[in-house]
Parts: sequence; structure tokens; C-alpha cells
Amino acid sequence: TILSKMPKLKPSTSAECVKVVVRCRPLDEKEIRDGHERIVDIDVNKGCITIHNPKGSNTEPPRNFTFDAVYDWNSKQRDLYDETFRDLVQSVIEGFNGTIFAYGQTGTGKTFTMQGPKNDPELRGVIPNSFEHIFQHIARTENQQYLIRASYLEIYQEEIRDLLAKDHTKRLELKERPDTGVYVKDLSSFVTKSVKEIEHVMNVGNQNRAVGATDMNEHSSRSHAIFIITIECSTEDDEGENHIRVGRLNLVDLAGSERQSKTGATGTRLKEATKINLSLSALCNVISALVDGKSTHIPYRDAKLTRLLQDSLGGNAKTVMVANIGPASYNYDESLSTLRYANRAKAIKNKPKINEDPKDALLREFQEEIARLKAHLQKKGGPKKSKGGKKKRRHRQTADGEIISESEDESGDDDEEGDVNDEEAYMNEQQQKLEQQKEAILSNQSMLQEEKDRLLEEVRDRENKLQSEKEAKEALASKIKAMESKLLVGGKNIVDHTNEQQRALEQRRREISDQKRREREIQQKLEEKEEKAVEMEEGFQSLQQEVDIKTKKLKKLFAKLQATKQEIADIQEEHSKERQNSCKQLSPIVVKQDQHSDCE
Amino acid sequence: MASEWKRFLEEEGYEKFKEAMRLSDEDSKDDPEDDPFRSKYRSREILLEVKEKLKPHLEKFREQDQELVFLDCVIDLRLGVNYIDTEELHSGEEYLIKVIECTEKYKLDKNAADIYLHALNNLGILWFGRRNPEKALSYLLKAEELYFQYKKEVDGPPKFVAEYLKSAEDEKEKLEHLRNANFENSYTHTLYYMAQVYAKLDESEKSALCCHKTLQRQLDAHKYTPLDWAINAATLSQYFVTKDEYPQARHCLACAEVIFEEIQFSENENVSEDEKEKVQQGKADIQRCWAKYGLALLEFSKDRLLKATEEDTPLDPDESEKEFEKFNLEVTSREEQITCKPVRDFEEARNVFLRVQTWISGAKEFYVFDGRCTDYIELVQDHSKAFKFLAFFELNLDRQCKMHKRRADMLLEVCNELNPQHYLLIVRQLIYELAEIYSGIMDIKYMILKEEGGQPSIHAIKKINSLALQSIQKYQAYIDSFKDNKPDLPDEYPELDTRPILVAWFCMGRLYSKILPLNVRERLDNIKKTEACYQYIIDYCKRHHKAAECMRAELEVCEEMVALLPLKMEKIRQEAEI
Repeated sequence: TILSKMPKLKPSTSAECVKVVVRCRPLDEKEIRDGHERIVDIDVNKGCITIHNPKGSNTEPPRNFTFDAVYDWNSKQRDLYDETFRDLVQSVIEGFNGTIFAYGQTGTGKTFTMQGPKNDPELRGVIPNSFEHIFQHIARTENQQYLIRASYLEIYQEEIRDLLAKDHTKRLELKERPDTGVYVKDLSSFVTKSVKEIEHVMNVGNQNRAVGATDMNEHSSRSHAIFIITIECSTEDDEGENHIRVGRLNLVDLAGSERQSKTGATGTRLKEATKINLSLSALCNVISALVDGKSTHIPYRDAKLTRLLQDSLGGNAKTVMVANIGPASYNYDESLSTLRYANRAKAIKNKPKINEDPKDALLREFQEEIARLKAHLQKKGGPKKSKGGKKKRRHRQTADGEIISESEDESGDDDEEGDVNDEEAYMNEQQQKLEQQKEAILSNQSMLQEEKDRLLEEVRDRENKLQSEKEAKEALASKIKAMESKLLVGGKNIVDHTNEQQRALEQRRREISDQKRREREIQQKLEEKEEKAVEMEEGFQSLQQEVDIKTKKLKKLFAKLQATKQEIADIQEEHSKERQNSCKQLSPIVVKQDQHSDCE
Repeated sequence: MASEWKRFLEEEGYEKFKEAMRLSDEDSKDDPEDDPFRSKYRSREILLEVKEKLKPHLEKFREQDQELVFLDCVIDLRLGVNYIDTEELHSGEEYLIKVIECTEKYKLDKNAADIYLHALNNLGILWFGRRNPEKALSYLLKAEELYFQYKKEVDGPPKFVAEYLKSAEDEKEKLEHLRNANFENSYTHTLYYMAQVYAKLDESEKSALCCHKTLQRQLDAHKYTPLDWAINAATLSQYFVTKDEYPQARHCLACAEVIFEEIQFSENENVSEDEKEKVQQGKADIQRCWAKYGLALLEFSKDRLLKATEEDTPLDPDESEKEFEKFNLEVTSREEQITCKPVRDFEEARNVFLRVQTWISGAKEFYVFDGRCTDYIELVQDHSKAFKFLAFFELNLDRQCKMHKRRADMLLEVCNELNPQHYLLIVRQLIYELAEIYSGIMDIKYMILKEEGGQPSIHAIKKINSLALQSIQKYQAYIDSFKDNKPDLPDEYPELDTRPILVAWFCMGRLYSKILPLNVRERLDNIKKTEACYQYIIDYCKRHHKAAECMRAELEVCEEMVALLPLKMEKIRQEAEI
């Protein structure tokens, strides 16, 4: 289950694992035509989003949520990428695992955020932007070889399908290996050498996803699509040894949140899914839910999605979640539920299962040790004050924490060429030797014809062998070459076409987005501090001041109380709304019924 | 007269019903993804059509012919369910409410009770779907109430819903049997839905009870698939394990085992690979549940003994004699393979341990390292845990050491094979446990030295030092795993990892002080290292106040030690100079 495995988010620290951002799309033409109101306000600078209840009374305060970043209807795809996703993709290039989720109700722009419309570079989504980022990065590196592979799959009703395979209706299985983690057995994966190639892969997959569906949205709203990019990088160290780093980027377009309880595979815990199980064979869901969370949990009901992403959600992975919402009043309930979900995702905790409690006995041992030391020292009379005895000494282990696996011979060493030359010389030599032998045999008159023939036959035989050896060698060489051609090396088979100016521009853009993020963090902190300041004010200079401050505090607390009350009321209302509706419908029936019985 | 509409049914109505049911229950499973409710919609059309055709009859005979009225209710019930299935909740609710109103006063009538019960069940489902479990529960409780009232007051089972939709052709005796089975089944569903609603309402005890009853009724009615039933019973045992109700947990597991074997006998037919794999997994899962049961029992026994010695009180009387609800199966022989009472000595503990070990290796046949890695490792961890508990009951120190050594070996074996990039969390757990094991063995070695008295041998010293260093190395590796590919440790650790990490520093500090030095210089070096570890904790807690809170006891110790250690070193130097 994703939520239980997602590491905890901590804004603006180095240990940050899950980043949650919210994006709100603009009102569309139809909504404007139909006169729908916008009920969402966004403060991009503060990372704040406010949502008003269109049906609520005037006194009802709007709801506020704060996220790592929020994007309003004016946000540009490019800005979103630079501010929110670029760092994550960069870490994948550096060998981390990374996952980007798009979450939200159908029609709020998940697919727009992830892919964007075709043929408009300005509106390109995360996936195409990451393509460009990755290949541009490679083009600018030196002495590194890259291998980029792409896969594309979909999970529909707990079945995994390969969107790139010829038969994309075939069901695939999940397996797990100690060295590479969870993987989809028989999933096709394509080596790509350029942005164009990987885009082609994506397009093929998108087409397959849509095949057979008359209503694209209907299908896509019910299935999860995952585009996987694997980046392998091989670097040579000073000793000439190759090191390979592998990073995996999962780009996930989740099923519409309103459908999640129906598709089975969900990002939420099954407990939160509302649909009651109808089939008795699903009894196991209920029972394992009872056991779940306690110490002896055995995971009987793994969803495919969460299992597939489990190693991405482990401690060394980075995750960004984009929650998409619609701004119109009729979306209020869904938008609010998306925001609440996103808000919960911020606080997800990843429970390390480590028995870290030194037993009481251990602490007791220390108390005794301390007492003994003290006694010992006192008895002998204190020694001279030891200056500098408290020198801070910290040992640092050398930086070998990297996870690097030995390179394999396929990465093509440079001295390959030398080997080939030697080989050729050897072959020539052999050839010459044979020729000489042949000559000698032919010119030797004293030999019997028979003998001669036999020897010549032998020589010819050896010649043939040599020939086939040579051919095999050549075949191997061309194979190596073919493999090498799949590897990408900056400046060699992938060239950076951007000029200095463009680069500077990019650099600038990155700086700006960093700056923005910092500003937002500072704003959020400031706000927090202000709030604290009010609470912490304790020294009062005069009674009047005390009254002022207390009033202020009271007001603030009162507002908070109201907000909380509202929250409760909301939930209650949510429950009773449907009840009221049905009551309304019910009364005419009851009246009819009464009349009916009166007639009797 | 009345036969008019019956003739209509015989001539075409029943045929139509049959098709509608087939569309709704069977064809709908194969509906295309882009038109998921196609068959359901068709089924609805047919039902509406028949209802329309019956309307004139109904208007004519409503007063005289109750059977017709009930038939109309059944059609409404089916329509209500159809609307709910197709996500048109509101319309579905209207139909169901209509059925309830129509049948409520006849709820104890043979001809209406089952219809009423079905409607209540479906309303329960509906409100659960609307995230209102309270309301769902009220309907389900009503259904339950009806079931019991009917059983008490009415003789003979009620006519069941499906019976209305086909011509009466069964013999009377058979019909009676069918009716009974159907009515019981309706109530089983009520229980099952209640289990879900209670779970949602966080009433896990009630939910578990409902699950238990559901299983019991499935068993009594012979309406179960052996694999599902066995897995469910085994899982339910885990619930009882968490409640420390071992006799009941054991009973569930024994029953699971018995029912599971029903599958194996009928396995000769050609079954798909998929099915076979499911069965294999089921077997392995039941074994895992058994193993977890044994482990929990050992841990429970250990804690019980510890509590008794610490508080110097006699052992709590175990409550294993408590009566509990049993399944209707003869499983005594299977229950006897393992005790359900807390163990008191090594011999008893060893019996449990041996069973656990067998179950774990059984489960490993399915959960193989290469292919189902995470599960396999969990089994290895459980195996290590089993040794750990067994060692607690072992009085001989040398043999205790050997048991812990076995743990270290098995953990190391998997740990070395794992790629930390994909299994970071698991690797961390394993490394930490290894560090704990090495220092644990070291402590036992110290105890042996103390018991033997006199001057320790060179060999013993070497052993202790190497254990301490191994433990330190593992703790350090654990800490280093937080470096995130960077050369230095981060300035701040993730909140939930903070305590384990700082405790690792703490343990390293202690371990350096445990190393038996060969000379003064080495001794001073180790003390410095100890000091550095404690100082790190102090510095970290100064920077992060939250950390100080969760490390309060250890922090105090560190502060005192850091004050004392320089004095100690000074003393050692002075003594050495003399």
C-alpha cells in the first residue's frame, strides 16, 4: 500500500523524500458558458491554496492548505518542470530512483501535466520535458557512457499490460530479484538514442492505450499508466575501472481519484476504499485489514501498483506527487477530497522496522560505570584540569557509500582496438606460414604425389579453419560495435545543439526557479514564526498591552476553532447530504403510500 | 384471472428473466472496458420491459393477488441492484426503498421475508458506498433482527428471490432444502457486510466476530472454496495472535490446514499453472501464519517470564482454558502438534522452535530468494527471531553464543546478496540486526569470562575484540547508509530514523569501551573514540531539539560520560608514567 510505504515528507530539509504540489487548471469554456464560479484561490508565493464552499453560509470560513508549491491556472508547464521536477530527474540521472505521481479527479489535467498536447513544445508535459533534460545532460558530459531504456505499461483492474508489445492485451506478471528488485516479467524495453526515438516510444504506447476505447477518458480514468525510463551510466575511474550507476524514473498517471475504489488497485489503503465487497471470497480483504498494522502483518492483498513502485518508495528514492484539481464550484467536493488526500500525503511516515531500544539493562550498566568512574576519580584526588581533553573528534568514514556495481565487459573498453590489431597481425602471420608450407610441399620433388596431396589437403584444411576463425572474430567485432552504438557518449554520438546563450538562459531559469522556491519557503516560515510569536509573547509591559495581546490571541484561536468546527460540520454534512436528498425524494412516495392505505 | 399473468410468464416472462439474469451475472464480466456496463444496461431494459407488461395485470389484481405484488417487488429489487451496480445510486435507492415499504408488513410472511432481507442487505451496501457506515449498519442490523425473528416465529424457510423468476418445477422436498439454503446464505451475506462495516467503524472485535461467524456458516452450508476459506481462517488466526488468544489462533490454523487439504485431493484434474501457483502460495501462507503463531507464543512466554522475575511475582495464571467459539471440524490431532500455552523452560521452547523452523523451511519452498525476495528475507528474519527467542530459554552460555552465531550467518548470507539500491530499507534492518547480534555475543563472552574468573586467555580477548569491531562496523555501515551518495553525513536525519541512528552511535561508543586493549596507547585511543561517539550525540541533540527529546535517557549518560572520560584518560596517562 502506497501510503504506508511512502517516506515522510519534510519540507526544505536535505532529508526530504515526498514532495507534494497542487495544480489547479483554469475554468474551461464550457464551465464559463454555464456560468460556473471559480471557488479556488491560490497564493503562489506562499504555496497556499484556499477553497470556498459554494453552498456554505457566509460565515463559513474558506479552507486553507499549504503545500511545497501550488500552481494556478497561469502556471507554465516549463516552470512546473524547472521548479518541481528537474531536481528529481537530475537525481535519477545520478543513479537514484525517482517517481512522479499525478493524482486527481478525471478531467483535472493529470494527463496534461504528465504529457501535454502533441506538437506544441510550449505545452509539453513532464514526460517529454524529462526526455529533453536527460538527453541534453548526456550531450554535455564527458567520459561517461549512457544507456537509456524506456518501457510503458498500464495497470487496468489489477492486470499489467505492456503498452509497447505487439500483443498489448497479454497479462504480465510481477517478479522480484535480489539484485534488481521488483520487475515486470517479459516487459519490453527499448533502447533509445535520442529525444526523437524515446518520443516515438511514448507515442506508440499512448496509441495502444487508446486503442479500442471509443471514449478515451472513460478508459484512462480507470487505469494507471506508468512510463519507465532506466538510465544506466558508466564512468571510468582513475584506475581505469568502470562503474555503473542505474537510476529509474517512474512517471505515473494514476486512475481518476473518483474511480479508485472501483479499479481495485489504488493509491490509498484498502481501508479507505469505500466500496463494500460483494463477493464472499473477498472476505480476506476484511480479515487482513483487521490484522494489518499490527506486528504480524502478512501482506496478502498487495496491489500491483504499490508493489511495482515499492522500491521507488523506499528510503533512497525521491517522490513528487502532483495533485490536480478543477476550479469550478461543482467540483467542490472532489477538489476538497483531493486536497485532503494531498495534505495527508505530506505527512506520510515511513516506519523503519528497527529494534533500536537499548534495554534498560544497558542503561543501567552505564549508570554503574559512571558511578564507578566517579568514585574512582574521587578516591585518587582529582587530576589537573585537562585542557583540550575535550577535543572534538569525529571520525568520518571515507565516502564509499555509493552504490556501485562492477562493470561488465559490454561497456566496451578503449583497448579493444589494440586487441583487434594484434589479432590481425597474428592471422596474417598464420596465413603466411601456411603459404610457406604449401610452397615447400609443392617444391619438394622427392615426395610422393600421394603424400603431397595429403599434406596439401591438411594445409587447406587449416586454411579453412583460419578463415572461419577470422569470420567469427569479425562477427563478434561487429556485434560489439552494434552494442557500442547503443551507448551514448556526450559530444560523440550525441551533440548538444544549444549555444552558449541558450545555456546561459537555462542556467538563469534554473536560478530563478530556485529563488522562487526559497522565497516560498521563507514566506511559509515567516508565517509560522508570526503565529508562534503571538503565542509565545509572555512578558507583558502593561495591563493594557496584556489585554491587547490576549484579545489578539483569542481572536486567532477563535478563528482556528471556527475552522475546526467547520471541518467537523463539513464532514457531517457530507454524510447527511445524501440522506437529505433521499428524504426529499422519499416524502412524495410516503404520501402516496399513505393515500394508498387510506383508500384501503 | 390470476392465471393470465402466469401464462404470460410461462410463455415469455421466465425466458426474459433468465436472459436478464444471465446478462447481469455472467455476460457482464466480459463487457468491454470502454463500455463496462453494456450487459447490465441490457439486463435493465429487459426487466423494465417485463415490468411494463405486468403492469396491467397488477392494476387489475393488486388486491387479490399477493403473489403478483411480490413478483413486482422482486423485479424492483433486481432493478434497484442493477441501478446500484451501474453507479446510479439514487435511482437504485428509490427502488429498494419501495421494496422495503411494500414488504415490511409482510416480513414474517413466507413469501416476502427473503425479498425484504435482500433489500436491507443492498441498502446496507449502498450506504456503505456513500461513506456512511453507521447508516449501513442500521440496515444490516435490521436484517439480522429479521433473520432471528423469522427463525423463531415462522415454521419453514421463506420462498427465495430467484424462485419468483422461474417456473416452479422442483419437487417439494428439494425446494424446501433450496429455500433453506438460500435464506441462510442471505444472512451469511448480512454477516459478511457487517464485518466490513464494523471494520470501517474501528470495531475490530465485532468485525472479527462477524468474520468468524461468516466462516463458520460457509463451512456449515458447504458453501466455500477450500483455498479461500483456509487462507481466511489462517489470517483470522493472526488477529487472535495479536490479542494473545493462542488457543483460538491455533484452532483457526488447524482448521485452515484441514480445509486446505481438501484442495490437494482433487488436484488430479488439469488445472492452470496460475491456479496451481495460487495453491502453492496458499500452502506457504498458512505455514507462515503457523510460524508467526509460534514466534508470537515464544515472545509472549518470554515477556511473561521476564515480568514475573522483575516484579518478583508468581506467573500469571494462563487463561488458555477460556472457552471460545470453535469451528465445526475435528482438528484435535492437528492442534496437538504445538502447544497453545506459554512455554516455561528450554524443552518446551525447543519444541515450539522446531515446529517454527519446519514451517519456515516449508514456506521457503514457495517464497524463493530469487523471484520472491522480500518474502524470503522476511522468512529468514523470522528464523533468526526464532533462534533469538530460543536462546533466551537456553541456560548454557556457550550454546547461546552458537545460536546467535547461526542468526548472524543466515542474515549475512542474504544481506550480501541484496542490492541496497533496491532494498535499502531491508538492508538497513539486516545490518542493524547484525550489529545487535555481534554485540550480543560479545556480552555473552564477557559473561563467560566473569564466570570463569581469573585472567582471560589471549584467545578470549581476541574473540571479544573482533566481535566488538564487527558490531561497530555494522553500526557504522548502517549510519553511512544515510549519506545519500554524498561524502558526509547529512546535517539532519529523517525524523523517524533519528533515534535508531543516534542509538547506533551510542552503541558504538559503548563497544569501543568494551574492547580489551593490549597497551595503554590503544586504551587511550579507544576511550577517545568512545568520547567522540558520545560527543556526536550531544552535538546533534544541541542542533536538533526534537532529537534530544527522544534520546533523553541516553543523552544524560552521554553528557556525564563526556565529562568523566577526559579525567579517566588523564588518570591512565599518569599511571602509565609512574
